[in-house]
Amino acid sequence: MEASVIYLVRGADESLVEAVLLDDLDKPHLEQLEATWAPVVEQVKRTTPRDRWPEDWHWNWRDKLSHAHQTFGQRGFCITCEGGLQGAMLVDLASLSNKGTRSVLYVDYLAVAPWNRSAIQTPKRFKAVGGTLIAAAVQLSIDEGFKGRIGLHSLPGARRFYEKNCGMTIIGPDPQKQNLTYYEFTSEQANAFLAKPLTK
Amino acid sequence: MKLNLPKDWFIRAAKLEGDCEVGAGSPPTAIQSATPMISVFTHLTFGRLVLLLRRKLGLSIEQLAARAEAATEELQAIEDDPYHEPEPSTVYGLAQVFGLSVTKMMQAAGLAVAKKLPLNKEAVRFATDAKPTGPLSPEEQHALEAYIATLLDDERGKE
Repeated sequence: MEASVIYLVRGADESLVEAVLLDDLDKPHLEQLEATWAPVVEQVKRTTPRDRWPEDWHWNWRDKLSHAHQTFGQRGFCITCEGGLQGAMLVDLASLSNKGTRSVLYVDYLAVAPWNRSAIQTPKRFKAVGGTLIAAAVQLSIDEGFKGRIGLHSLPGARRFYEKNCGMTIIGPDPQKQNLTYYEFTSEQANAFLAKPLTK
Repeated sequence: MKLNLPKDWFIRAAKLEGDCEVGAGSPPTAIQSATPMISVFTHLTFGRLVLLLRRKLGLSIEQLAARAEAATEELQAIEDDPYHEPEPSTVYGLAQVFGLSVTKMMQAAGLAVAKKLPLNKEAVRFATDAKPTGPLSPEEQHALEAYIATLLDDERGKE
């Protein structure tokens, strides 16, 4: 397990806060996720109409992690800050691009803590969690020889982020994945993102 | 893997992120749209059955979970979420606690095919809203008994 010092921005006062990115997602993180994220999501489910529930409310991270541990090429990441788990991601190193010709690192699941979502808490407790996880996926892709290429299926509410903030290529709706829009970073786009997040 | 990015990168990333949502994976809406309505109705009715039987026994969700050897979250989902498919082990545990036929409970939960699904007016009446706690009202008691009678009808016919 390797730790990287990163920085998040506190939503309340825009101050920079030191945080840690771990290339690991294991039992202690899962327990923290279940103990801290789930009650907030349940509260949202009890108090808001169904169409405003978080798009990933049904995810069972215990099952996802169990599957990842039994699957070749799956790796986990998480971000911790001020004692709390701020985001988590599972990636797959054994994936092909949409054309089936080039290897890409595929982001299976990416989620930020409920309090880092503007739909649940305004202002977000911390910003830059999701972008940092994407940067971690790009860095792992580079380290593993995929030249920064990554692919992912965006949750419907996150498309603006991948298109405008990341500048990913829109491959299109994927009928095999419930018509979620599939995005890819080319090597050039990925390296540009690491050099400087952009907006179109 | 080591990530080395300057502080400026994070400041810019946060500024651009703004109120954007960030997530990748699979959404519940797509799964739900693929869920047949008959299944949703079955889960809704089964959730109501569990809720009323639990209240009849005067148990909290946590107490029922302990007796049925099931997860509290699973029972909460069974009672609240018609899109949730109950785990067979949970249904088995619930049948033991409630003293009902495992086969019938599996059918009621949509995990086994019944010769005659109780999708009649009793089930429709039964699948209406109910309070999460407190003793059963006379109307709820009647609805529960009528639904269980319908549920067990097929089994009694074989005896």
